[in-house]
Amino acid sequence: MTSAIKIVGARIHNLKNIDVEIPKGKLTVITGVSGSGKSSLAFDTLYEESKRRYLMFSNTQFMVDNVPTFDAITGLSPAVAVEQRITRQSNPRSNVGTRTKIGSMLAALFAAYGKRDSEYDDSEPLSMEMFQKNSPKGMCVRCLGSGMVYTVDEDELFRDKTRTLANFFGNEGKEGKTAHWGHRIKHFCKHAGLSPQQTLESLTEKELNLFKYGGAGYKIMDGVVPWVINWYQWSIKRKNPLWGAHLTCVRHIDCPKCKGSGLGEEAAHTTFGGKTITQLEEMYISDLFAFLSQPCHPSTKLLEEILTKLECMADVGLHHLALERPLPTLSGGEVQRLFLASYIIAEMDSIIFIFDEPTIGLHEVEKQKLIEIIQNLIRRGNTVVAVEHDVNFMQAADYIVDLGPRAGEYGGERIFQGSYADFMRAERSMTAPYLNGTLQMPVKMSCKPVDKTKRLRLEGCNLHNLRNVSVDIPLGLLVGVAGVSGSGKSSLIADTLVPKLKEVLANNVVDEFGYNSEAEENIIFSEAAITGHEHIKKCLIIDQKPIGRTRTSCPATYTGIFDKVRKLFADSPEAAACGYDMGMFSFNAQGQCRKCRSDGVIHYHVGFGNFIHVDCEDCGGTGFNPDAMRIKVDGKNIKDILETSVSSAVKYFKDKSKSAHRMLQTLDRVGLGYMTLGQKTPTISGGEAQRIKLAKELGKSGSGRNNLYILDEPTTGLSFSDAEKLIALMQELVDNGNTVIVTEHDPVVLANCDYIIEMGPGGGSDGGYVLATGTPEELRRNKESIIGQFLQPTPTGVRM
Amino acid sequence: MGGVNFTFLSQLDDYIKMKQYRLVNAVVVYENDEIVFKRYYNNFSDDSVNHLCSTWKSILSLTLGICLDKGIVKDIDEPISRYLPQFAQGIDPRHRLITIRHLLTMSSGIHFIGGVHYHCPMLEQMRRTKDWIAHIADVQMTATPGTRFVYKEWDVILLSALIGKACGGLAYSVVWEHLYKPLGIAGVEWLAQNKGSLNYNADLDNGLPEDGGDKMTALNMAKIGRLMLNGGMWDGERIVSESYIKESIMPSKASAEYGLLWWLSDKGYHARGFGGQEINVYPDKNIVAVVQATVTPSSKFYSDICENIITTSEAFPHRVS
Repeated sequence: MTSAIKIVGARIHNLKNIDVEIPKGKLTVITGVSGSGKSSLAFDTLYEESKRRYLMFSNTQFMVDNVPTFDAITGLSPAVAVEQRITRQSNPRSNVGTRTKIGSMLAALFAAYGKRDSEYDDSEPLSMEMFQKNSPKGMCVRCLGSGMVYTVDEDELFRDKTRTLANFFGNEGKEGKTAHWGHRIKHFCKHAGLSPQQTLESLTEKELNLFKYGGAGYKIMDGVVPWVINWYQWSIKRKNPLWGAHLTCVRHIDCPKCKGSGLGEEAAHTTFGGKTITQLEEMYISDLFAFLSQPCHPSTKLLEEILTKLECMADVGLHHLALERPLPTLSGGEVQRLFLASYIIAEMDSIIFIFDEPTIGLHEVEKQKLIEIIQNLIRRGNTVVAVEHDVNFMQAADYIVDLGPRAGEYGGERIFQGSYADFMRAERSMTAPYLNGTLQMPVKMSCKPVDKTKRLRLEGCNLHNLRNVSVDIPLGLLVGVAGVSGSGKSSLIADTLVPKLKEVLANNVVDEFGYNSEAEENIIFSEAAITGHEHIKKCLIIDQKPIGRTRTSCPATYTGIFDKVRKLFADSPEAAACGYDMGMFSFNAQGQCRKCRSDGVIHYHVGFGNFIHVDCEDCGGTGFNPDAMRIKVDGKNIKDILETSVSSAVKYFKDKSKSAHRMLQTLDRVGLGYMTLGQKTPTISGGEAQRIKLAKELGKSGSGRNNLYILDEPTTGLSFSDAEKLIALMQELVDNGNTVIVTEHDPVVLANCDYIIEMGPGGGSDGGYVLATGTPEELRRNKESIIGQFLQPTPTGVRM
Repeated sequence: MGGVNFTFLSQLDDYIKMKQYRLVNAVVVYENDEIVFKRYYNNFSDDSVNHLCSTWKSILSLTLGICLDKGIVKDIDEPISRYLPQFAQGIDPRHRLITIRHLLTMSSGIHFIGGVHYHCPMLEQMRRTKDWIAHIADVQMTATPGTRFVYKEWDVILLSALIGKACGGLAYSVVWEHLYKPLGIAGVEWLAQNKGSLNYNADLDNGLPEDGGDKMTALNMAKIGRLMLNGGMWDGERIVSESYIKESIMPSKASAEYGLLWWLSDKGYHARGFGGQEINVYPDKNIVAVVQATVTPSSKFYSDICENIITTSEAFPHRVS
């Protein structure tokens, strides 16, 4: 066996024909600024080639002639990769239990060893599906497995018998209720032979029943009871809730049949160790592990395997999750560690593991544990390659590969490969100076004082594990929210504050692709109270969700630059001669390539969930049809423009469009100069997406003051120098009179906050309290604070 | 116009061989109420019986028609809650709107997840409950009754239970006394399920016991079609009112392709069952054609056979070698 993986002449994307050697059986960290080519090397070269060879030799693959992106790679073994960008999970029905298969294993355990309530025991064997709410055999038939049902309080709805049909919902409120309902009731009355001016009490029993429950098949309102449920559901799902959202007669309650478990009768009356499967799935992983490892349970192979999996999940820092937790509510880091746990359980050796910032979302304390786990993988005989920015992680590495020196066309070179000690002396590296102390991360020397008259107050927050939390958030400052994973940071900010703000500020909350999750819906009616929001003009949520729903979304389309580009092309004499308008230069209109629908590539499924991507023959991978491609402006066609990097485009647009120029400058300032205008959504990481969103807000003219910006772990994927830029940007927002709330683990960001709210002390059932509040300096002195000790300034800045 | 395609029928053996229809047991054709073709395979004969499968649903429709004629059930538009108290509890406000007609048109609005090859997972859960009807009443309503057609087992189970309640016994007692006996059909008692409280004969999910449930000879199945074609008359005797027969084969509000438990097409109307059981009635040509086949998990439909039977030679689309 060779001792190293040798890559010769790698040249995909911006890589400049580089040779890299990665020792086998070691932990290698690839560093460099964002866009320097780390992912291109680790994922697009190393992982893709390993996957291709593995699938080829196992005969599940066919050969596809692609342009080679390297000269040679030797010493490969099978690789598994976890990328941040592909692990966004969106199926609302998949949860931690289904993803890890522990849910199914528990179901099997219950089917085999469950103790049945004698009253419900039909002495027929139980099957696994009966304990799975996604199976029609097991789901509660009333709520179809969701655990919740909508009901109408008919007493409330029909209380006032003197109301006319036209005025049935009253005339208070807004959002065009009178007209909206008026249209429906007019239509209903016409068909039913009634008058909208009739009162409820004037209706015969038959007429009243028709009005209540319908059944005549009228199209737009067939019975007000079923209608209000539909209208309510529709209203609350909208970004700006419609009047139906304020209907108090509609309730979304725990299903009365299954009591919220989503399961049928068999599951509800079968227990293991005295608990139902629902109760076990509600427990935090750490508590569940403790419960199932009690000696009283029958010792079976199945139970052993469940315990192994649970232990492993706790080890990777997922102790605070419950099996019932839906995957879309997990952070990118949590999802990645979920995958990591499943690899560890597999107990394989000689595998190449490729990770993308595995420390994301981990508290300093938890990072150490993760490093140990990864070192265990190495000890077992595996190779680990990680793209990382974290210092502790680099220090733990056996080998460092540094790419750069900068991003995009100014990067892609191999700056260094070797040990950490030697790396400190590496020249031209943008990372090394921060490690050897030549450069220091900034530390805030004076914090902006808290203005007691201007603050946001949340009271009585009880969502998830929050313990009746009340907290003051000072406005006009850079506010950090810290705490270990699962301590309640997201529950407080993303799941309580944001929905509450949406309720009180309505249209003044900008949450581009936000949807009202079930959690939010419950918050609207929860006890939690908010005050002080009158100081906020507008609230902007800058999250890590993708910047578009379709694959053709890209930075240009998202920021609106593309509209200017299309106008530029449509206005050209050539286009005018052909009669082309802006639609000709759109992926989604006439300009679209018919074959690949502007994807540029055709995806072939080659089994096992793997795809092979081949450039589309019709458009040659451009995504545009030939007519659109023929038009050129300044010698460039539409595709050339989209392939331009942000930093080059800044110059190009200087005299062409003022607004596009300003937007591009901002993109450059948030550290995205390397990104091309047309980079497709699926290849944009969560961190990048977040910075694009931030840039879009900053790039608008007159962004103003008194705005509240909410950011979730914005340093994800950022190197030291990029993180420094980001901190400066956030500070700029604050200096302009805005408030920034940032949920963060990175001690550098926290040390640069004016005020920190620390949640804790532990995760899950051990968390949910406000542990400490105050300036970084105050937290350093606060014995209760856990993060405080990491905020100590050291000779090499806080990060060491 | 043209009637029966005898050219095709003369080559039926070859056709069935070519198509590898190994499970087809019987093909019987009546024209103008006279038998014009009869062919058996797999050692079937005049006396061999075959499972009814879901053609049972169409027979259940006739049973309800008889109940209306006899006054056992008052009105087709009566709410089912009058017969089934489980639907009078207000579990869902729309329960009160479900009428007998909605059951007959598969538009009760109760949620149903069908399965592949008759493996209806929701039925499996129902079978384990003490009171099937109470269980069905617990199932989520996903449409206003009468508005959306969804082919499902719930509606016929409810209908059969309702007829049983109305007649103070089981639905089979009505069909035996007023349909099978006068038509000379040697029926097999319908499966009494849910501790014998109701007849439900269509489902094969649990695997019917070899001799359980209603089976029929091909000639007897043809009698059902002939009764329909004759507007409810048999041997000069009124079995089902003509108005009900006519209503049965009219499109419902919820679906243009379904009457009262009868499938409708531009050529006629049809009782169809899993595994290729068919009673096809072509009123324009005065033809009744029956197909029977053995039921296996991999069963298919053989509708092309009867389509060829009524297609004239010139337009005969399937060349037979």
